[in-house]
Amino acid sequence: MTDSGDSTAIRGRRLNEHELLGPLPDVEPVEITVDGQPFSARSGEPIAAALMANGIDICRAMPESGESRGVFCGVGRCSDCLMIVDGVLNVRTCVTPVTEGMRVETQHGLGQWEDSQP
Amino acid sequence: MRTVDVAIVGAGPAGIAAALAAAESGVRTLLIDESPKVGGHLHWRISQTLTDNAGLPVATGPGPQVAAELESLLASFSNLTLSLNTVAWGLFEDRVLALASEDHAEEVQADAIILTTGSTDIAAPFPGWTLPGVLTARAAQTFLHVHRVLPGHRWAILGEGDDADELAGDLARCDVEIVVRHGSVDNFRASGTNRLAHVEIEDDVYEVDALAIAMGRQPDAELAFQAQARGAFVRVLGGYTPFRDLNGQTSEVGVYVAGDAAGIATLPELVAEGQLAGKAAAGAGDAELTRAQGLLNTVANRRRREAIERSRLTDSLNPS
Ligand code: FES
Repeated sequence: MTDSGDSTAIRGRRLNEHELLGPLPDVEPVEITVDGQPFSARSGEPIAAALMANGIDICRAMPESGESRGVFCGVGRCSDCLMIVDGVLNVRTCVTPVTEGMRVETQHGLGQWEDSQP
Repeated sequence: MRTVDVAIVGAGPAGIAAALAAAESGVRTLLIDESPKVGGHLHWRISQTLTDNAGLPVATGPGPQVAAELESLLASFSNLTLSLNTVAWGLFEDRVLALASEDHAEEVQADAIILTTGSTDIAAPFPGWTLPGVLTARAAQTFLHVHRVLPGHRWAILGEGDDADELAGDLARCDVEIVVRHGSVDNFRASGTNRLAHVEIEDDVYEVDALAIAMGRQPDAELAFQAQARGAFVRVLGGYTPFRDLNGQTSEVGVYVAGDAAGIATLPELVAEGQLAGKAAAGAGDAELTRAQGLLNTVANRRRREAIERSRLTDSLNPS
């Protein structure tokens, strides 16, 4: 963070050290894709945390206005963080843990079920 | 249907205190929480237990460390079952709780139920509150301390009071900048295309990438109201709260509410309330209850005592 030229946008988002909580424990990395792009996540963390750590703050677009929404309550209460996960619509990404190979997609409006889904 | 003597919903400090009190009395106790760990807000409000253990039977330290010690203590009781990753989604007649987890759903019937379901943040609306980058104080604390991710580097804090101060202290430990703090939603707006970029206060514009709403919290006792418990809006308790008797029992016999769910409380208050409700639910004798009531009275501040008195269940409401 001391390098010249570091802008807010590219400064790291992982809290690797914390004066009360100590170093971030090592966990297995898992790979997920977000709108087709591969990203690395920490196994066990919620999807929204993995996204935020990778600089992605937008989860979905509102059905009518098209306005962006991202994490708001962070604890599964508000549904602002809904995304399409492995083809399933309306998944609360702030409380759903990542799994290896998980396919995460920005949800536009109410989204559309894939053919294989009920 | 599975039956237990005492079921407790919510394994935060109040619920843990209740579970330990009930389990010590020897009754079959079930402690339920939707998250993967016990400790509730000890995991995101990490600074509360640094200097005061608030009456919990463990040493002081950062919240998560205290929570881990409490989890081992709970595990030492053979008559106590812990159901984590389990949502209690319904409370029906005759104290039947509906539980659901990833791959299992069941109903559990309990002689007594203690709801220690905590609080939710008050999210006062203002222009631009829906922009990504705007989040509640609890979301901010959860991402910083549980998930260890920074929602942003340049912060605005909206709100004044204990919750806002606590968050400012948390952010100070994370090498981020607090650009602006503002007390109320009056003349306040957030702006940006697709994502938060500025807050505007009257004619001043501040460049930020995260905004936490720390306007306080409100009790969450939805299950009690679902079970038809009576209540009222009590301003000093922070919102709509159930009427309770001295031990925390609601107008529904055998259904107790303790801690933040019964009105926003300090940590020592909610621990003492949990202990009292745990003992009462387990059928403790008068002497023990009087002692637990006395302890609550000692730790409760005047505001809480007055508020408890005002929302107290009167005999006419209590059918027992
Ligand atoms: S951010 Fe509110 S439900 Fe996920």
